[in-house]
Amino acid sequence: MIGRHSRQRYEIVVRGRLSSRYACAFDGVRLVPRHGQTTLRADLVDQSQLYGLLNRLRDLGIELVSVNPAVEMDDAG
Amino acid sequence: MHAVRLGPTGAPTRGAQGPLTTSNSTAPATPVLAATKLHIPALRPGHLRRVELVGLLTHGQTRVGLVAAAPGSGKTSLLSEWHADPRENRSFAWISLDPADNDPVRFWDGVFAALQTTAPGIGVSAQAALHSPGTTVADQVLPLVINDLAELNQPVVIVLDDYHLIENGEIHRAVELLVDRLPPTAQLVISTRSDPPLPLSRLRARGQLTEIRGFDLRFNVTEAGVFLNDVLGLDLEPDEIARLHERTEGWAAGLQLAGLSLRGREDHRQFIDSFAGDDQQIVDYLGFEVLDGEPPELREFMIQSSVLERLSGPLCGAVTRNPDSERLLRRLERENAFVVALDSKREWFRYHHLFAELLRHELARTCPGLSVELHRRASEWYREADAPHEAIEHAIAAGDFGDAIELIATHWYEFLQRGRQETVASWIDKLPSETVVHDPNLCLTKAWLGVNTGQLDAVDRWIEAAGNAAAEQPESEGLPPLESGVASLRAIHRYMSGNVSAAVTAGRRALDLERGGAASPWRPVGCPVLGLSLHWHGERDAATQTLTEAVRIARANGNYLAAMHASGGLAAIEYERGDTASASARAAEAIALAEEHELSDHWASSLSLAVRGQLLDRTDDPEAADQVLLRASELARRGVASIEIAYSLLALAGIRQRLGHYEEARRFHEEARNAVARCEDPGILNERLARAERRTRFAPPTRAAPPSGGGEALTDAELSVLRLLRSELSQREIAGELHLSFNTIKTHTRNIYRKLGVAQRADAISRARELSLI
Repeated sequence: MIGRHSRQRYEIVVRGRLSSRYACAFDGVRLVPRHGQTTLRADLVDQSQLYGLLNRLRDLGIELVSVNPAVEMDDAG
Repeated sequence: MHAVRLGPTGAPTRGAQGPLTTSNSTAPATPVLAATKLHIPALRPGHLRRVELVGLLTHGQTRVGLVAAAPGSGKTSLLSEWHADPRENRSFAWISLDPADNDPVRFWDGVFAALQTTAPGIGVSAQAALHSPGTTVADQVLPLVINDLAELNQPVVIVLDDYHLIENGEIHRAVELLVDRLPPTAQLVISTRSDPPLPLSRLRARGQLTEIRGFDLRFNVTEAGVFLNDVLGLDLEPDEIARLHERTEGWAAGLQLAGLSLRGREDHRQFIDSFAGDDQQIVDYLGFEVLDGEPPELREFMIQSSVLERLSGPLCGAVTRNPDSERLLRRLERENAFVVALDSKREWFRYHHLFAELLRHELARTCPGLSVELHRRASEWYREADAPHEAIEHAIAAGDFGDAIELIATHWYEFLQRGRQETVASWIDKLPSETVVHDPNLCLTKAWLGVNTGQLDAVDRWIEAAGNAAAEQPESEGLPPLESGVASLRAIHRYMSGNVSAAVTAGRRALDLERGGAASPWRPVGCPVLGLSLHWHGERDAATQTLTEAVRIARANGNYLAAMHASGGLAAIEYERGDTASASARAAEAIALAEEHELSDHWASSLSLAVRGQLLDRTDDPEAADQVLLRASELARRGVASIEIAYSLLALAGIRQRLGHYEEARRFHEEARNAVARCEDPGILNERLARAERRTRFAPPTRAAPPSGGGEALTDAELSVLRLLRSELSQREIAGELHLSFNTIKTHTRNIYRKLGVAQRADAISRARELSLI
């Protein structure tokens, strides 16, 4: 499982393109838009952080499409 | 971090009450804020009526209603409309929840207050039980309000708005229980962004759930048209409406944002073309459109005031430093409808959640770092408005931990008295743990929380941490209150854990320390606890003197809980002395105090009841005695002081025996024995237990384990003597206790020492403990 100081990368896909103006809403998350959806790439410490992020998306009225751990962690994101 | 002192007298401003006390004040610090939570939001001008959905709610008189949808779908508006609908004539008990309601006491206080807006008497007894320590919501609080609901003449609807903010499992379980036992006169309706952890499938299957979800809330094309053209006054063509409807998928917030963006624009078609053709997330696209379209003064006002959960003219003025705040707020309400009134006087507002998020992001983006200053101003305003909870939250948000700590130090005591331990705990938990551990007062507060919630193991650790933290501080006048605070806390902790000799030592030390300096808030309860400890320790005269003094001081300070507890102790002493007249008078005095000040549900009233019960027994009314002793035991169990629990239970076991209920008597006696066993030093209770066992022959099975080395096991008689050897009694006194001769006791003692392989009494005790004989 996740170690105390290691992080797990998650890819969260949401509907709609999120502009960079919105990007500051999500600390430490990279936004990758594509075809009417946006992939959020986040390196998270634990489940609490993940749920926290999902709740914020919910609170912004953003629709979730999928949540998956990324297969590899690559620095290029 | 500098050491922070408690207030000037060390006592809270609401009158010196003991920390183990309960206050029956359910009025929150800021009545205005409470009114906003209970206020049923008014229908906004231009609200689009959802006649069919309201019909579903009016007719579907199921046990539970659920409105679950994304923010901006129109949940709250729908419920407001339902309330206002002429087809609906039930009363509504409405509460708008916020994150602070994760404190169960605050949550249920709010629900009961909401119910009281429909009928004055509902939930009053439940509220009293809620504020009595040692009660659980499920067992003691909810049954009372459920009774009240069952007796209603008019049905009521209870609305919990924004239930997704509740994350406390304890509250969820209690709500589930409420749902389960809800009488037909009441309906519970929950509005939320995420489905609550309630047995929804079961409710659905039984037809007990009316459900309205995001899909149901969407506007259809017709409704969209009415909204855009009639309500917002735009002049759109049918195909334009259709495209907007399609793009927003009928989502209320989306349509509203689109409408606002279009207002004041000449070329609708061009806007709609771009908007409809774009795949950008709606709030992202339109939200900033709307924001950018506002005049600069208004925009700046909105962005800066976004740090606030609730807005009023004065508060916004303090935070934004804009003297026109009142006017701007009203303009916002009129124009862009993202500000919602929270009370009928239109003094308090809040931003619609979606818009607030947007504004906060814009603040972070355009003026990074400004939010710190804004939170600071908000904290200052709330501090002056005497709303400590909000002041603390904003101070922490500003990163002003020093200010937060000062506020916590001033108010934690008062909040604990109102039963708001979770609130106090949440303040401390929001501080960095480094900060907490190095602040002696915060450590003491944590220790105190431990005592109040019965988590006695943590208490010692926090007391030690307090001591360490205090040692790190430079010499300051703040120290004497701290040391006496620690000593008082230790005394109370030891008493609760059943170590009377240690409690006496600590209690005496606390008293000595307090003679030198300012009184600490723990003193009013420290005094009775010392007196009681002395009693259990067998120092009857010192106990009497201390308890008499304690009663006097407590009464003078208006601390009726401490007075009651101390009087109960005096009654017990007088009973032991055989002075039944005095004992009866004292017990009556204590019980009267309890009734007068609504402390009859408090565990500290168990002593006086136990004495009264024993007195009734003597006057040949065993049934009455039994009832009283049962209640005494029940109450004692709510506290965690094993000594008081054992005392009541022993008396109860005795009466049950006399009434012929032998099995029950045996069980109560067993429970008492376990309670005594939990005490590291139960003082004279050992002798009481031994006496009871002799009289009733409830001795425990002989421990067959021999001492190591294959020695002999102790006989029953020897075990009885061994137990009394644990106390301060001399062998001659032990002989008296057990009605045996002095020589017999000497013989038993010799045999005990031989079998345990020891030569002295103290060694015999430790050895016996090692072998789990006592």
